[in-house]
Amino acid sequence: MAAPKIDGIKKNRAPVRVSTLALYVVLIAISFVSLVPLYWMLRSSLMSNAEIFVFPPRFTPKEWRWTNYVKTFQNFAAARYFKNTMLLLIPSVIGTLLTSAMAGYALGRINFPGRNVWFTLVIGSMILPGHVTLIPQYLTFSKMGMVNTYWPFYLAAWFGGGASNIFLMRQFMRTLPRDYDESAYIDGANRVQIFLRILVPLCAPIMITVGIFSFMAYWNDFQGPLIYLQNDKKFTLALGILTLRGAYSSKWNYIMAASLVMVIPAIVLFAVGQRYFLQGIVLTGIKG
Amino acid sequence: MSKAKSSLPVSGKLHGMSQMRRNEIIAGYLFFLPTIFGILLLTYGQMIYSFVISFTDWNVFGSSKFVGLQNYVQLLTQDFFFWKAMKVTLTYAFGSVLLTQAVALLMAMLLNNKHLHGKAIFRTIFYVPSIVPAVASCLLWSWMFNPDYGLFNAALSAVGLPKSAWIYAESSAVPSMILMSAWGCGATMVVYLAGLSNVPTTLLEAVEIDGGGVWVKFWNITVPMISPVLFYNTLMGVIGGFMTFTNAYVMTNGGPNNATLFVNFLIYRTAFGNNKFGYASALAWIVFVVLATCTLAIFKFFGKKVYYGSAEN
Amino acid sequence: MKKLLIALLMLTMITTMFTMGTSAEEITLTFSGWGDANEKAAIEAILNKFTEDTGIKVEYLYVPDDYITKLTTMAASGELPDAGYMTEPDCIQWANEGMLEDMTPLLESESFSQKLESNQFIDKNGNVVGISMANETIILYYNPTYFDQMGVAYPPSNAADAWTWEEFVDVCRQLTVDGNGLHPGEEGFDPDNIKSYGVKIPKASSIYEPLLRSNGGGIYTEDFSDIALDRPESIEVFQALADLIQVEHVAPSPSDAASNMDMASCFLSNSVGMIIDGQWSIMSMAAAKEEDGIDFDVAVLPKFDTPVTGNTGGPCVVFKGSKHVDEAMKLCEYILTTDYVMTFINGGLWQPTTLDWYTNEDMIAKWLTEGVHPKHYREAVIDYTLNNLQKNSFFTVGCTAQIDNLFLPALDTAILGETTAQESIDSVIEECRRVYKEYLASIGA
Repeated sequence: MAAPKIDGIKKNRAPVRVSTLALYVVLIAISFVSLVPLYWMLRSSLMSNAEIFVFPPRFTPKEWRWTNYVKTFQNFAAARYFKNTMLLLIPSVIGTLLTSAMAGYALGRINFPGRNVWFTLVIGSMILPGHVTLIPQYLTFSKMGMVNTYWPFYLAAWFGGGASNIFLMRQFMRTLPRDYDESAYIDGANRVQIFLRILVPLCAPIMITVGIFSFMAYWNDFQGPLIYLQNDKKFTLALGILTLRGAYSSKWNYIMAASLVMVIPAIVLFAVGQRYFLQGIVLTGIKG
Repeated sequence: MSKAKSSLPVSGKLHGMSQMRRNEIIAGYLFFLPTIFGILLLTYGQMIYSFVISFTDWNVFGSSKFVGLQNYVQLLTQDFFFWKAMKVTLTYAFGSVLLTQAVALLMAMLLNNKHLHGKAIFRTIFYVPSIVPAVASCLLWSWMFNPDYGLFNAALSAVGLPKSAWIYAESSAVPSMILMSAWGCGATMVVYLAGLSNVPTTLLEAVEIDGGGVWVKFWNITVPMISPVLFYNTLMGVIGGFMTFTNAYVMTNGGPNNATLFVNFLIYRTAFGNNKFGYASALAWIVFVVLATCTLAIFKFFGKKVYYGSAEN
Repeated sequence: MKKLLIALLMLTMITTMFTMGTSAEEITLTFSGWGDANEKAAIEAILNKFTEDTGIKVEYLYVPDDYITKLTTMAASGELPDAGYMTEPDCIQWANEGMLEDMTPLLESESFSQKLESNQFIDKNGNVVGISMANETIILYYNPTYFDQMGVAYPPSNAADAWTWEEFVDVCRQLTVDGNGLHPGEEGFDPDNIKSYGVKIPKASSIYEPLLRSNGGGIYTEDFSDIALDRPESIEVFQALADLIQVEHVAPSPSDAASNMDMASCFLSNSVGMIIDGQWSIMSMAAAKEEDGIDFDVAVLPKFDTPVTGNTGGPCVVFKGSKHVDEAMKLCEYILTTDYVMTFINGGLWQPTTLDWYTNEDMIAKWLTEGVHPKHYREAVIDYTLNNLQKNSFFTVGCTAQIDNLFLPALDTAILGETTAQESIDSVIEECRRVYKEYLASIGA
């Protein structure tokens, strides 16, 4: 898929202009700023603990301590944490995508009584600081016997998947021309078919965006798992990294090593996922 | 809930309603059903619970006493931190929204340039700051901001500029954090990209043929076409700004001299540090009212301007 | 929809029954704690030993971060563990609310060896409600290599010889140099380009409190009947601390986030000569010594009037609502037995809490570890703890976090040189008094 596209671009290439050159300079400058933390994590992960905070800051380790990575993973049940993360994350992301798209479709494109009230309730659920609902939320899940399981996460994901995702889906669904579903409706398609065959493909860019956002949210979340999971047999990666942190002393180099290893799959996933933004455009073009 | 029931044609015999309209209503509720469960079971019950305890002196441990509006009155008239926290939070929320939206939209537009090579790589790189876990990035930034040991001051003195105290001085703390928020705008940028991908190139080309420049294209085509995501990002940015917590929790502990005492951090401290849950809930509900007002204002502001394809309103 | 709701409720009840149905026959205790993976492993080993000896099973509830939020949430749901660690500033607050069991019976039991008084948490009724798992004395760390390089004599390790504040500031000046090798007070010294500082003092009430008390001041009065922050003796200390940074230019401005993690870094690059910190840093310093060859040693704090130090030490407690209080107490006894936590003692993270260990030579010999505890540890930590330690206020006061949250931020402006210490304290003293009065009223004092 990649090769023909490059060919296509090459054929259409305009002569290099000054503005294009300036564009690249700006983009590379932004890239540099964006990558600083990644580099900072990398160099910290290869240093001795004391070297990390030395002033003036060192940009490269005096001695490259690759064994830090070995030592990190001796202290760190990476395989188990990864498996747990996947157990928590995969059903949750699927649930979020499905139910938030459904809600977005209902709120954005179907005219049903009470719609505005429900939409207001969705928005309203985002604007109360979460610390004060933590206890009643825990009580709810505790009464349902769901503490120390992944069910609190599954339930939230399959029951709407979060107000911000619903809101985003609704916003996007509303931008799509209504002729699509109307003509399909006249052709005898029902709303489930319209949703699955027309809207979901048209919404590919936003579905991928929501998918990536919720993946990142579950991947990095430690506050939820910290409250609902009771022992480290069930811990996820984000929570597992905290086990490298002591109350009085922390192996910052190991923490950075583990964090970096944790960031890389997320970057890869994004790099792969974001290609489909382009496809979204292509699809829209064809259907329209 | 009762409203939902009364409008659902449970028996299928609602008179004076076409089959099509009935189907539409049923479809609407069926598609929205999972969210209704979420709202009723997982969200609003808990919110009402906290609303009720905001009128009590509940401290988690013992029984609680109804105290009427006392928590609210005390917060608004006597509390030592309340107004400071509100001011800090408002400044940060609006500062970070403005800067973040500008930077994110600019980056998205740059990346949407059709002559650009290596889009995928740039997009990924720009998103990297959003991938780094919040705690890790807060730690990184607090090292970089450190007046004595930090990267920024090392860089400033390397080029002969005066050092800054960054997050460690009252006046520069919030601006430093706004700067940091703009750095983490990758997720916002992605939403803009998704929005821009829906702007028909045919329209832009039409303007180009008519001799319209970059600004004409931006204001007359791009902004209206992406207004739903612009609206989304602005609102989410304001809400996110109000909910800022990790920055204070990991980096500054609310200092210096409460210059970064974000209201959400104050709520956390009041609730889990001092166990004043009634009081903390009242504080949270004041935030709710303030944010509801902001949200309403943003809805009103965008209400007339947002362009939704050929949607009915 | 109604049917669905009912089905969901049924499902809920079934799952609840399943989770509740297992614990009838044998006793299983729950013990909660924080710490890194190594600490967790060591605690689990003790729990296993307890199970072997008593036949009582223990589940370890491991909370690697934000412990108090989790514990508060569980308290609200009536699901507290039987026993566990407790965060210091919350301990007395919880006890005064009746959430912790009285541990006096354990202290008085035959098998239990005598604990340091300074490690006992005492609630409003005078009951001991928690005992520190480790003592952590506040001491002065220094970098002997840098002292040698500057030709300055090492700080005294004996409390009787403790430096006066003037002597201390004088040494700090000798240790501080700017980019041109000049010291503060010398012609042309550039305070914006300091290469090495004399001292670094983290901004924390546990570190300020002993200095205040050394001058006859304090955060609270000696009998805890009032706030003492606005005593002239206290103001003098706060001003002296601010002056170290703004007037003398011998200390970097404190930055909360970095204060606890970079002692080894400061010594590695000779950027600071001395650091005041808790005993706990011995472990990471020993690691840095091995990894980077950094040298370090310990000394007593400088004094204003009398030599005084302070401490911290998270307690082990038994939570109210435990169905097996006696067994939970027994479990605490295991955790509090010094012989069982030798990993932490020998590693430099913990100090014993048992009195014998500070006086009995055999035990001291077992405690001190080659390559971990530095040369002057015996005098500067063990003797100092025994003779000069006044325990932190959070061992008896249930609102220290609230008071800290008021006066520490206010001091920032003094530290930045924008106000005097007097003005800083004046801006919050009324509110401190109001909060403290409210607290005293709440405990019926």
